[in-house]
Amino acid sequence: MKRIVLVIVPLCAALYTGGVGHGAGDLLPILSASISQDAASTLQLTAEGVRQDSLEGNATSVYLTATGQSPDALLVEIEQMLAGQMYLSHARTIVVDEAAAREALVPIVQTLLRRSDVRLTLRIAVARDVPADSIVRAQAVAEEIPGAALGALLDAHAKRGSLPDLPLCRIADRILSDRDFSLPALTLTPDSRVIPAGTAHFQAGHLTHFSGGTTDA
Amino acid sequence: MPDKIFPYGQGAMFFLLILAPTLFLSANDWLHAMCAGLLFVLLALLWLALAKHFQVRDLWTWIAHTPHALRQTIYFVLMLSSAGYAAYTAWRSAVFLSQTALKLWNVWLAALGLLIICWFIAKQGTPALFLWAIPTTLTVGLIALLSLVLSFPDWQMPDLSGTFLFSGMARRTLDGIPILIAFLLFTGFDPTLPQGRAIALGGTLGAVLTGVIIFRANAVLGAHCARILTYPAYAAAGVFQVGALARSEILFGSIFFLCLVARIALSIRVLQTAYAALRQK
Repeated sequence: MKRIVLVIVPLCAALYTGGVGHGAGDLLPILSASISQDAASTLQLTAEGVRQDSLEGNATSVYLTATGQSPDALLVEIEQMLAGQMYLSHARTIVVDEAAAREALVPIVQTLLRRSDVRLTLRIAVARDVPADSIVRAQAVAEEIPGAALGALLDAHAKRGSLPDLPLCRIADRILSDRDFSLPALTLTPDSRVIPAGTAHFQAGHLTHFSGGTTDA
Repeated sequence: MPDKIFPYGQGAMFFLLILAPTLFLSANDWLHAMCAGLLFVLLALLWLALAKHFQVRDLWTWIAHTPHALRQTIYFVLMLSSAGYAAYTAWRSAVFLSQTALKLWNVWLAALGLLIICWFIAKQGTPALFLWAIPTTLTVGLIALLSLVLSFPDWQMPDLSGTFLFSGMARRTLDGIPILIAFLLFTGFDPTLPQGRAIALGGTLGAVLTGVIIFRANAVLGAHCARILTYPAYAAAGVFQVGALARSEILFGSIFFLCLVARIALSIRVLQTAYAALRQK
């Protein structure tokens, strides 16, 4: 018995000290994010994090913005802002603007797949006629946290069949097999609520046109 | 006197051993893994037939009757190979943990911890080790089946062209030979406890479940996406959500961890048995 204790206790101590680093309080869960691209091909990421300062308090959204030349650079810059670490495991939706959808969707997907904390059920939507970050920042109707509401909206419409049902794993599969695919398009109502706006069509990983919604493009 | 190992325990252990590498296999290996598993079942049954013909109780007993120099050499080789295999499997398991759940743990310390835990499991003796395999198999099998059933609505039939290559099957077969030998060391002919049916059932179920689980990765993630992932079987298990259970891949990963523990513990048991035999005059 003594031998077991003499071996296991130091081993547990070594594993514990080796594992000391990020506690749960150091991680900032990200629920949603937007990526847009300007005329100079610079990408801008707006990430909605969720923080809860006390057990009795409500969870609130905080928005972080980063710019970079590649999706990897965006994530690195966001993490450098944080004392802890960005935690993408709760992220349900990423909204891209039309420019990013036309030119940067493939590197965005590749960056997401490289991260072990990104869930393969994450959805990507395209902002139509509005900036992508306005979708992410829009106030929720039913939920307190906009990112949760956005994820629920896309899941519900995908289940009903009114929007394409293509999680990240399937998007990657389409891109890797050179097949066309469609993603949900979103826009804002006059009172800044998120609504579906048809379908964004992609060919060889690049946005070609929209269909459905209020107008066809 | 040789240890008494009950056939259900042997069948359960065989199931765990065949299922264990599922976590590490690539998505296009589903048919290779299934065929290799079924081949192992055939080899095991062939061995049991030979053991019955030559009245060999188990391989340890047969080794004990070989000439001294050959006997010592065999024990030494078994010790070295089983120690190496246990260490390699523990290291791979620790790497999986560090890449998925426990990113900040030192891989070598985690592997060492796993080896120590498995050492104490194996130290309970061969009959206890094989008995432990029975409830473990039930747990692993039920959770795996539940995972498959719950994910079924998300399945889409993938492209099956180019699914089977003999080189792939050869690779899977060679990978599994060491643990197959380790398992067969503890089997043989026992007129009071026939082992064939239990081993055939456990091995066949393990082989089929291995193939279906890896096939599921292709069906749920898409064949092309599944192929670029490091742990496609693990990733595919997390693609569905049932009620509040959103991180189902953690439950799924833990059952495969149990299978890996079985592999490591059996390898260590071979080491301990060979060492004990080597020390006897």
